[in-house]
Amino acid sequence: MSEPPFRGYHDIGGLPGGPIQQDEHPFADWQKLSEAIRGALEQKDRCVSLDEIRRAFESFGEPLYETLGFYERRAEALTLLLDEKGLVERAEVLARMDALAAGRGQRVDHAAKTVSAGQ
Amino acid sequence: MPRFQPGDTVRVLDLGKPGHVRIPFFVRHKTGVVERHCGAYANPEELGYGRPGLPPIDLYRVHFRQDHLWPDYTGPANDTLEIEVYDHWLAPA
Repeated sequence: MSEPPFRGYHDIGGLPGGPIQQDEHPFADWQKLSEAIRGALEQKDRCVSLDEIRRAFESFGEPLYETLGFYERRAEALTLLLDEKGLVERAEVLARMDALAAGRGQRVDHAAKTVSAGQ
Repeated sequence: MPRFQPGDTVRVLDLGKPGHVRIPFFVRHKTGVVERHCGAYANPEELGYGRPGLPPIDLYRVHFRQDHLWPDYTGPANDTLEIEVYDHWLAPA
């Protein structure tokens, strides 16, 4: 049997998955908000579809995909798609993140995807 | 008129298609049985790139024997896995 040439890094059915985390983690406000925005954009003339969201996070590259949690992947995909469609530039999103963080006395390292107490 | 009917034996193709596909790796090349026709829908593999994905493609629910999917399966022989598969991933078997 020939080995299929393409298996996406997200396509993990049947592979060892490691231990399952069974602790409850309540939703954070940003998770609810980003999901609400995603749903609204889908309702509005399918401006952004779930199919596109999936395609986007299948194209992140494995390192980023594995680093991000479920809602972080969706938010990242949404940012990527809105930029791709010319609706909101990625730079605008990052600038807004910086402004919000600064208001809390924090600093975002976009390359490292971390937030720290900033000067 | 759908190409397959309930009870038809079908084989999952490997189209070698990169990018967004709606078929899990573990069913490629496997043989299953059509359980029902689920309707016809815009192709999600096209919708994923913002294209219309028309004309609609037939979607089937197909069941596979678990011991056919997983060589080390130790459950009952009549255990099955059901999954929805779009027409273009299937061939008569």
